[in-house]
Amino acid sequence: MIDRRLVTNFDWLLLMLVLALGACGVVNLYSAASSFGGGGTPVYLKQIYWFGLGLLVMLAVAMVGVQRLSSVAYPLYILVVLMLVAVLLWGRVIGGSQRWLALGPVVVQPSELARLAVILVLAQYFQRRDQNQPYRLHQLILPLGLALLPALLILKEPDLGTSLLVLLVAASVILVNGVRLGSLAAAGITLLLALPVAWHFLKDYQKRRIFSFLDPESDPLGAAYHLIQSKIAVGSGQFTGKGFLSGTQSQLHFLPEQHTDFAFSVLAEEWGFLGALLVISLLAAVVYRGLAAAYRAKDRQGLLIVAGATAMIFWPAVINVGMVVGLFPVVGIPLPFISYGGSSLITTLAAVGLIQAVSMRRFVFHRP
Amino acid sequence: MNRTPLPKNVLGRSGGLEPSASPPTRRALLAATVAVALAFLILLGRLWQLQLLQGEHFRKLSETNRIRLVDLPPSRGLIFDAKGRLLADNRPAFTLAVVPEDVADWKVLTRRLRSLVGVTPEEISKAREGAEGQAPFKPIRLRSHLNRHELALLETFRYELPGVRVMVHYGRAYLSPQYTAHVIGYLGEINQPELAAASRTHYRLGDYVGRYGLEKSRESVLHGRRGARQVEVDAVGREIKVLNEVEATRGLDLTLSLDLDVQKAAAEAMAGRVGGVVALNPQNGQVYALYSSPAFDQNAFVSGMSPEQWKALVNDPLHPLKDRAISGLYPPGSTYKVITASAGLAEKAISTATSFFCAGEMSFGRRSYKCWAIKKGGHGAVEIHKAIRESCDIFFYKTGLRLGVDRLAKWAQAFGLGRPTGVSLPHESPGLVPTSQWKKKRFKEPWQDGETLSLAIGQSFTLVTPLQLARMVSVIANGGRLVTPTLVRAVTRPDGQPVPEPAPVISRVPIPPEVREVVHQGLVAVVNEPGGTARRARLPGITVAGKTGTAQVVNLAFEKLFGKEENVPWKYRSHALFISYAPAENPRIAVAVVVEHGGHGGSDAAPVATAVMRAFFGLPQVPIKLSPQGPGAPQLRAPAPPQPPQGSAP
Repeated sequence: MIDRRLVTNFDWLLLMLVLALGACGVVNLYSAASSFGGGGTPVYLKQIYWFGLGLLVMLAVAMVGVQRLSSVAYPLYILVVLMLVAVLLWGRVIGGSQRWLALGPVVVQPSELARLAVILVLAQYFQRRDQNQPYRLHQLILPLGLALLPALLILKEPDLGTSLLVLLVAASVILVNGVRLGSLAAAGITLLLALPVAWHFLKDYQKRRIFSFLDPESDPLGAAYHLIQSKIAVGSGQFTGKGFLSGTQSQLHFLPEQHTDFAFSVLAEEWGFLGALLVISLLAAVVYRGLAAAYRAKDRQGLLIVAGATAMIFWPAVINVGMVVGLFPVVGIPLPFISYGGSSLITTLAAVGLIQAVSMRRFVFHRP
Repeated sequence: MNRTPLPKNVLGRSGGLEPSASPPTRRALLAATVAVALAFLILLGRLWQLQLLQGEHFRKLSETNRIRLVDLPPSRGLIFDAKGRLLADNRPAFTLAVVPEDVADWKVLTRRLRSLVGVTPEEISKAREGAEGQAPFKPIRLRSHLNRHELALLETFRYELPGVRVMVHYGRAYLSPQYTAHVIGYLGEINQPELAAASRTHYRLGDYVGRYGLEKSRESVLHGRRGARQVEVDAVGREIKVLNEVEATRGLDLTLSLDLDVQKAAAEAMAGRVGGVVALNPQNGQVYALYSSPAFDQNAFVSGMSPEQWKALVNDPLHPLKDRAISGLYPPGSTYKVITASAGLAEKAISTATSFFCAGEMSFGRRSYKCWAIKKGGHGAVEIHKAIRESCDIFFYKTGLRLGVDRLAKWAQAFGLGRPTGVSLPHESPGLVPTSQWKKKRFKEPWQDGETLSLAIGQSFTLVTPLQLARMVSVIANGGRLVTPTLVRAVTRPDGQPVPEPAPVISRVPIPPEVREVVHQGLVAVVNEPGGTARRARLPGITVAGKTGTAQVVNLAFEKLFGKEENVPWKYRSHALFISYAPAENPRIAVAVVVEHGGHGGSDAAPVATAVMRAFFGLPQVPIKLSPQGPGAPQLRAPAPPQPPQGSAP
């Protein structure tokens, strides 16, 4: 049943990198959440379960292959959009925003699925058009619309971070597919003009976060507090770190969301520059395996899917670390593999599965 | 980086496969590679800067940095009555909590808490599960609203109960809960949709927000602004020193126009009865009393109700939670004759010289329309003054016929019926003013002239609230102005500085002065002249003007089935209405009373209005004698004297 070539062409190095990152994440979570009280399953153990589940999802996606996934790209996309609408109408509210949808006993977060659906649908769209010339702006209206629809629905939840990721991932796919330089410039200008409109859609707390990023002194008791505390945590790690379980910033709960969005601050505090360097190198290596797989993909569709999947790892990594070290405003985007969170972990590993799926089949000739 | 040659070379063109990366795409991938490298290098550069170049600085900061944020919730604005008496206060409430990291032995603690204050092991394990993932120095709440006895026990054994904390916070306490339930309302814990809609700076989970009455409609003023405090903590996270503080701003205080004495008089006069009472200043609309019976206990909402209590309240057939003064809908009955009279005169359908003959009944179409005075053979020749004084139905049937439904509707609307009065209370009903167009739309049938007859004496589709009635009679009292009822006289900052309130809207009603004078004189006659229907409403030394109303719930023929009047079951009895103002020369108070199934306006509603006026003018109260309630009347408790709430809260 399983083609031997699929096994030999499986990117074992990529899998190793992912396992190493997962291990770093679990070790770090052991510390980040060690001071939490209460009973129940410890956070690091739950992360291991999620990681295991994620690996199964990765394998499943790799085995199914992108051809079969792409054939349901449009139905999947429509399903995700409907689920996003359903979330707004009937979703469960957790932490002030409405992101989860209960389907029987399972609670799903459709905004996580949205990124995968958008990648598949865009790849399908460009594959069908099969145009080798760079795209002009007016030719991109439909693909941009395909990305904007779920992004706006997610923004309404409100979940600025995930909405932003959908747009970034979609933009990555569109850019890799090729856009005329002039069109690109025009799009950039449009975007700048659209910013005030987007501003209008932001929630008060989101606006405040951006203000406090631009001027941390303006609000030392509010959002900027998180930023300051995170910078102190990272900086005080110095070269070798304060040691495992010895980060004062994290153990004394100066950090907000220290096991999710700010998990990297804990890591940088306890393991110093060396630890941060290791994790960033691993992340970079994963991204490069993805780019290499894209380069070798046998058709446009596979290439675009891998490019999108790679973007799904690259963007949250850069934005999260950038936020933790004070280069970006605080947006709720978890760091792939490191932050705690089932849905984020499974989505990330599904993306790795997409990379594997294309990579494995680069020498397979049969067409479906 | 992987330098595998492009698969294109391997694949060639066999199998009809496209070349993998077309040139622009390959360029884009190369650009992406460079961009990715750049991005990660920038991150590493920033880490280098923070950890190595500035590492020493941040290390010092982290060692001295023991700064944490503490949330400072604001305290809610107070509410006073017109004479400065406190109606809504904030009082300390005590909550039992446990700090997990300080607990030496959970088993021992569980046992001791059970024997001391009766907290069950299940409650404790449930609370601990709920706090899973929370920092161990954060207290877990076990029980709120500790009473004094429990408090004393816990204090006594404090040193034997490591980890146990008693937390104090300020909760709402209503000082006259039996009188102000509907007007002031109550608070409830904020829910998720409200939290999502609210500004995060002002509301947090666990906050209380107004849910009813003024607490709800004036939430934004009363709530205040929360503050925060930067505190230095020791190595285990305990506060040592306050570093920086943005103080919470207390909510603004409300001084109402509501007068507790008048409100109390209304409540006591309505004891055992169902209905609504409104008293206001006819000149500017300031409300002196607004009472709905039966009422409920506001403080029960604050201290947390048991599911059974809540169920009983919601399923009570008399709906105590409904504010009848602003959302109870009643046919106006003969009080509507104020409008028919004004409209007839102003539209010149009748004049002061117009005289109709009342034989006790008149036939119209195929039906006979009766006057209430049919038993004594009718009123004989009637002109407007006598018609108002003795509430002659025949006179107003005929006037109504001359006017028609739509001119009556126009005047009803001019007197403020058919739309909310605009009082700042939630859930106000607009009532209903029927027009011929409305009937066509609603019933797909044309308006019948016979219906105009009923309409003219307030028995048709028209529905009004007691508040609308008070406003309506104020138009005659003040000479033609339609006031907007207001409850809040002043909004003040904690330092006593007043905050300007928008001036209430007062509009003109196009009623000619001579018409107003005729109606006014008629209303004075109702109370003061022999033959008037509300002779009981007189006050010593003060001229009262008023109009009675008796709104039928079932038709007369059905009522007759029960034989004598006192045998008519409560639920089939007519609503008793009375609208009034005083002193007639220079009105300072207007009162509207509706007693559901009360019997007759003159005998059962007017005495309530009189009691309210007596309280307002500082006259001694006299006992009220109301007609006995019919079979099946609800057994209502009289309002108990207010108990000072202690430590009920938040």
